[in-house]
Amino acid sequence: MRFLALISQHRVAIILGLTLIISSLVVPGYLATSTLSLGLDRAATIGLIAIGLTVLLIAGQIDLSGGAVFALAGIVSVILQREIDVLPAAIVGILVGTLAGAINGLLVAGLKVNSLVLTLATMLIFRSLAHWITNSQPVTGTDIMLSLAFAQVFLEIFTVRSALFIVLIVLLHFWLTRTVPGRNVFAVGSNPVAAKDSGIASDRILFLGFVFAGTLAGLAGVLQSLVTNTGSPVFGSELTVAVIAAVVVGGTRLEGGKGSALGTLGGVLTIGSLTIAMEFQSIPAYVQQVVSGLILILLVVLDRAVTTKGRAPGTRPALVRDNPITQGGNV
Amino acid sequence: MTAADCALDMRGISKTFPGVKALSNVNFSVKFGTVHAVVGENGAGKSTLMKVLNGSYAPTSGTIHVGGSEVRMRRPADAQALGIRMVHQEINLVPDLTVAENVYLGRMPARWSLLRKSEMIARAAAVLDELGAAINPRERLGNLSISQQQLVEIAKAYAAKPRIIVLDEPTSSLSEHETAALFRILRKMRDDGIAIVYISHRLKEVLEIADEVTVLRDGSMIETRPIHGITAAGMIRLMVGREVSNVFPKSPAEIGNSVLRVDGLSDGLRFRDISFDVKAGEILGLTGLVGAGRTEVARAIFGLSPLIEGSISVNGRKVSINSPSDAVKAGIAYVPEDRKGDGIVPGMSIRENISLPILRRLTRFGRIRRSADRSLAAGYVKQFSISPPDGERRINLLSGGNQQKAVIAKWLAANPRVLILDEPTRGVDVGAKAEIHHIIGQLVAGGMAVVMISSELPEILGVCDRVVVMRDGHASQPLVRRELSEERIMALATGEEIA
Repeated sequence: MRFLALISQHRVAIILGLTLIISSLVVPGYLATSTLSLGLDRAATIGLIAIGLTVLLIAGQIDLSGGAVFALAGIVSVILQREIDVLPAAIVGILVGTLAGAINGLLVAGLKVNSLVLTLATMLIFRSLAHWITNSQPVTGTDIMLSLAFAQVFLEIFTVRSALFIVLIVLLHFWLTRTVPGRNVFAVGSNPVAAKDSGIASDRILFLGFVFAGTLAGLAGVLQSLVTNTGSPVFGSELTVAVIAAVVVGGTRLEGGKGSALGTLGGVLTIGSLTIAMEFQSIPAYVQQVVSGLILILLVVLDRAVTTKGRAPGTRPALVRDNPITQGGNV
Repeated sequence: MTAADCALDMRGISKTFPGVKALSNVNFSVKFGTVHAVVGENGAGKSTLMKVLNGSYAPTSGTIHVGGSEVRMRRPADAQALGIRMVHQEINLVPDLTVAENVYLGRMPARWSLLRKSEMIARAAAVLDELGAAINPRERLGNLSISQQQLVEIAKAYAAKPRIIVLDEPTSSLSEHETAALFRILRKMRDDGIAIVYISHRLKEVLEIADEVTVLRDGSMIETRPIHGITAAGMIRLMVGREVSNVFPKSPAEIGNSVLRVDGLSDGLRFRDISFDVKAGEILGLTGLVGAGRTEVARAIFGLSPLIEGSISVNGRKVSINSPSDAVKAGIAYVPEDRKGDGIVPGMSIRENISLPILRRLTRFGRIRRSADRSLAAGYVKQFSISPPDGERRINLLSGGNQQKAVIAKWLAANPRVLILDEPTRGVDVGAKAEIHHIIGQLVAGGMAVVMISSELPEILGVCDRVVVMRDGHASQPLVRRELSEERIMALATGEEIA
């Protein structure tokens, strides 16, 4: 029992370790820094969005619109390059993400709408907007040299994007564990009624959570467009699933109240290394998705087995929880 | 009484909801340094009044003075800013945060919003210590027992150094021992000058702790009196508007053969070597301090947690029970303690809740026979006088007592031979309690064997034919009626001989 609990506690690290070991056995040269650097850069895109989603899931909410915001923000930043400089265009692109998050947040916190349904709707809207303004065609930027700058590897392994991701994860870890607003996010997700009765401004926390998540999705989208010098309305269409997978593998609970930045880091790296290993083996994209799906199911089943067996007989979760995801909004 | 002595003065408070007048012209005032009890049946308006007091509801009309000046509260935070703290009956804490974080929820010590964790833990430890609660402030709240969580609730309110503290049924999940400790705490708080509003159904406790008592009935204030010069019977008379001669009617049922027999039950952790039997027409009480293992025994008999030793027989035949469905097949039903968590499906109607365990029997060709379903529910609604008498009403909109009646009905529909009731009257008002006891009386008169777990000694003494007392996972020999007294039971429960 204690052994299972120990495994459960460090499961993210174990899963990541196993993924790396198996990948390095199957893929020649997998542990070379150039491969790892590429994998990390790839993972950073998932990771930036996952940072925002971690906060929202802990608060008991979800955001499905991340992938669409990712595409929209990138497109805006690329199109604007024809009118204004690259940097202001990029900033506007990120602000598009912020705005999208603010819309989600206003509707969820203000109108008490279920975030699952609401962000499903805004996902469709943002994605359609992206198709509309581009006429469903990819758009290209003005400065192709920028891509090279972003692909530049420093300290052997980091790109601008992956370094940014790591820095933000560390900040998120600090924020979630050591600051009052961070702890309040857990309170809001774990028992919204108690949080509210204790004078915590849950609506504000939820609103800002969505703004934060939108901004990060925008940031990830703008970076992607700068790296590829392209904006495309189909960018990020499979991203949402990968992001949710990464966060859940990282041990964040879908019902809220539980999760960590380091867990998300582990989940993101796992999904990233898996993807890159399969790409190196030229496994077709659709098979990759099947494998990712199977691994996710396996993890959820394992998790369930460990947590129910690890509990002492005769005990049960002490509190009745309303499930904020299925019941919509906050109470 | 000068304005300065008066912690709280509510004048002419009314609160109307669409179609219902929940409070009508209520006057209620509490002095600093006193314990003021509020009693009344469920639905009398106690909760509504307290929600007005803690800022959850705005009154439709009336004024509120706190510490002599008029206030207007729009949300709980406003009430908290005025020094009003509420301890809810339902535990209202965050299971995924630590004890210390819960104690300081909403006002954690911080500088530049950076959490001062060690300071917070030290302060929480000091508060818990002062309250005499042996709880580790770093523990995750969800890992604590319900009675420990209740103490954390009280610590949370106390740590805020309130001027007025409202406790709603604070002892409903505490054992007698813990209740005594709570009363020490309350007296200390009172002597510090805090105004304490104490809501309880347990009139004995009210008589013990309160300085004044206010009785509410049907949304109106009936009377406020000093506690000396009023008796429990007097309070009940004011609450129900009629004399209740015998709150705990003794069941005159004929006692038959042994129906359920358990021998040497152990789960290797919470209880050991438990043996007893229950006969048809008999009510066996199972009592002891909270945490003595009573609920665990019941859950094991019902197949909700595993046994490592012992046997269970029903009607003289050994049965093997590994899951609740085995137990139901063997004729055992279990009405759990945590009504909201385990007993009801909140979103469903009374009818749907009642027919839940026996839907298969009501089904023909895979389709639920609506008429059978309806008449089954209607029958129980009538038999148990569930109010409102409407099977289509969502069960979570009923009062606690009526929910409990519906949960009992649900299990009766499965035609059990043995009914195990875990704290069946916890948190229900006097009238509903009498009705539930009446229902139990009817069932045993019909030949049912009943095991009733209760922490309330008057209830155990009044209702049960025999009583088993548990302490630290061990069970006493059954006591028969003529051996029963509160002193005897408490002596067995605490292991302390009473001189």
